[in-house]
Amino acid sequence: MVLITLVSSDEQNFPVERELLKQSGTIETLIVNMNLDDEDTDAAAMPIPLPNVKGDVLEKVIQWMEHHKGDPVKEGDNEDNNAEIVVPQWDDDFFKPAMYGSKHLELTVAASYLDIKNLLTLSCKAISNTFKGKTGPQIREEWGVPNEFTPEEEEAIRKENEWSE
Amino acid sequence: MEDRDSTVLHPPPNKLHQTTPERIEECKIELGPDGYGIDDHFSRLPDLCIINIFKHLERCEMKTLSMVNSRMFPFANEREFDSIKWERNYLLVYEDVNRYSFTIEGCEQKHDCDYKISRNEDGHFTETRECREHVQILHCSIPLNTPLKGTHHTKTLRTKTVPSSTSVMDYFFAALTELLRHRGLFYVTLRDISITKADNVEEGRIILAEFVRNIDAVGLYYGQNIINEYFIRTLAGGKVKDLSSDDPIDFGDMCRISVEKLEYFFHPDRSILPFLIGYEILEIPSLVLNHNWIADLAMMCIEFYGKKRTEKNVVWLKFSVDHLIRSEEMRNRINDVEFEYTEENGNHFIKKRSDGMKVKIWTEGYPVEGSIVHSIILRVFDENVVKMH
Repeated sequence: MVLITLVSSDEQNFPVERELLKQSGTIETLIVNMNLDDEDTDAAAMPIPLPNVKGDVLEKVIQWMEHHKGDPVKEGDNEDNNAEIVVPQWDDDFFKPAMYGSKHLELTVAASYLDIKNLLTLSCKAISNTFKGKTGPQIREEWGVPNEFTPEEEEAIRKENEWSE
Repeated sequence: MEDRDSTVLHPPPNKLHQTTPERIEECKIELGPDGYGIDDHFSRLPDLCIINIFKHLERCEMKTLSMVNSRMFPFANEREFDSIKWERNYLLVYEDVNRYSFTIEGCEQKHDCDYKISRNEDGHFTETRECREHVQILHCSIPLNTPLKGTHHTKTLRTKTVPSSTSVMDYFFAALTELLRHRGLFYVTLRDISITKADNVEEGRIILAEFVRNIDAVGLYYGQNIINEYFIRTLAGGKVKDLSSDDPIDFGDMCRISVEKLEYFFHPDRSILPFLIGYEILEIPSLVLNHNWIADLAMMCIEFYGKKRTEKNVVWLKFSVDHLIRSEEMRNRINDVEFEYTEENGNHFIKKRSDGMKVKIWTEGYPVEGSIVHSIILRVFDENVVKMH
């Protein structure tokens, strides 16, 4: 089994099975560019630095990839009907504990940076699910977002949106 | 997120305004140096992630999220989401309380079918249709005879109602144009439009004309007071087809505005003539031309269509004319070096000597409210291709 080492921004090393990394478009490109798949190359001696991903987040990403090992990898733009996407129970349980904190959002950013399409889609879908049936003030409260709009601005935005109700 | 390196992925927020100290106090949430709340990790997400989150929302949820803060506000208007915004193929545009309601409905119709008829074992014939093309058609009603109370979301407004005194609002057309453009729709039917808002008829007419010219084809069942010189001028270059005809859908250069009831005539000045040329079919019975202009119009048609031969080799123009045209007047007005005038059986013919392009002109009279209105028809054709008597 070929292992490739990923290095997080805080210098933690994560040896990861080569097969798992096919889910990440970014890492896959790096592997190809660094010729890590060549028989002559000592992949273990050439760690891949990921300066935009912290260790604890990378650990979660790897955990997710391990669970989804063998899943078909999406290519190109996501053409799925987003309304029909359902977050599987395992993923829901995986995302939920950190949903409203920074960790889940960091995981989403990492999925975007590492180009892991399935993780990004499910993660964003899980976030969007938290908005269902909520009002603006409720969303602000749950996500810790300050209200920057004056009542007049809120009214102006409401009116602007009104025509498309 | 605690890691400020993540700003590498975050473009600076394009805020509507800076958060003032008063607002900080008001919302009682501690702000970070970037202007977002200390715990507001959501607003610090990169654009790409926020767009991805928006993709999973329906239109009403997008609207709610866009109202959360200035970071979210611009995303609701991203063009990328237009297919999501309108995925239900239904949009209501309305204002409430003493103002007006509009309904727009998009639907996809099967068009251009192959028909196959086969015989079953039991001897019955079965017809199957194989559709080669789907055409998206947008129907729009602007009804309301009387102001309705409150906010209305009812689909019953779809049904055609009698023309009303409803004023056409500019944002309605802005919204409709955007909708059509984004969805690649090319045909819109407008019914019962009446621009009678006393203080702003001209503005409403201009808005409608600007809208119509941006759409490839429009079926226009108009109310009163829409069509005037400016409207036609704005329309020139646009394409309008009247759905009330049973013609096959052919969106060539075609402009036909139907007049079921001739309630309104307008008398433009001579400068409108160039704007009447360029269509394969143009029928504006409510446009009353001065009879002295007809010879000039005919010669302009010959010059224009001679250079740009149409596929069908026949162009049809129909207007009204203030008086019947007379042979002597026509003869005196043509440039007889380049053109030749003849009259046969009450029809007037003007022909260009050099290339055989010809116009046949005749008039028809019909009664309107006790008086006779004369319509004038010009058929432009190439004598070498089409024989017409």
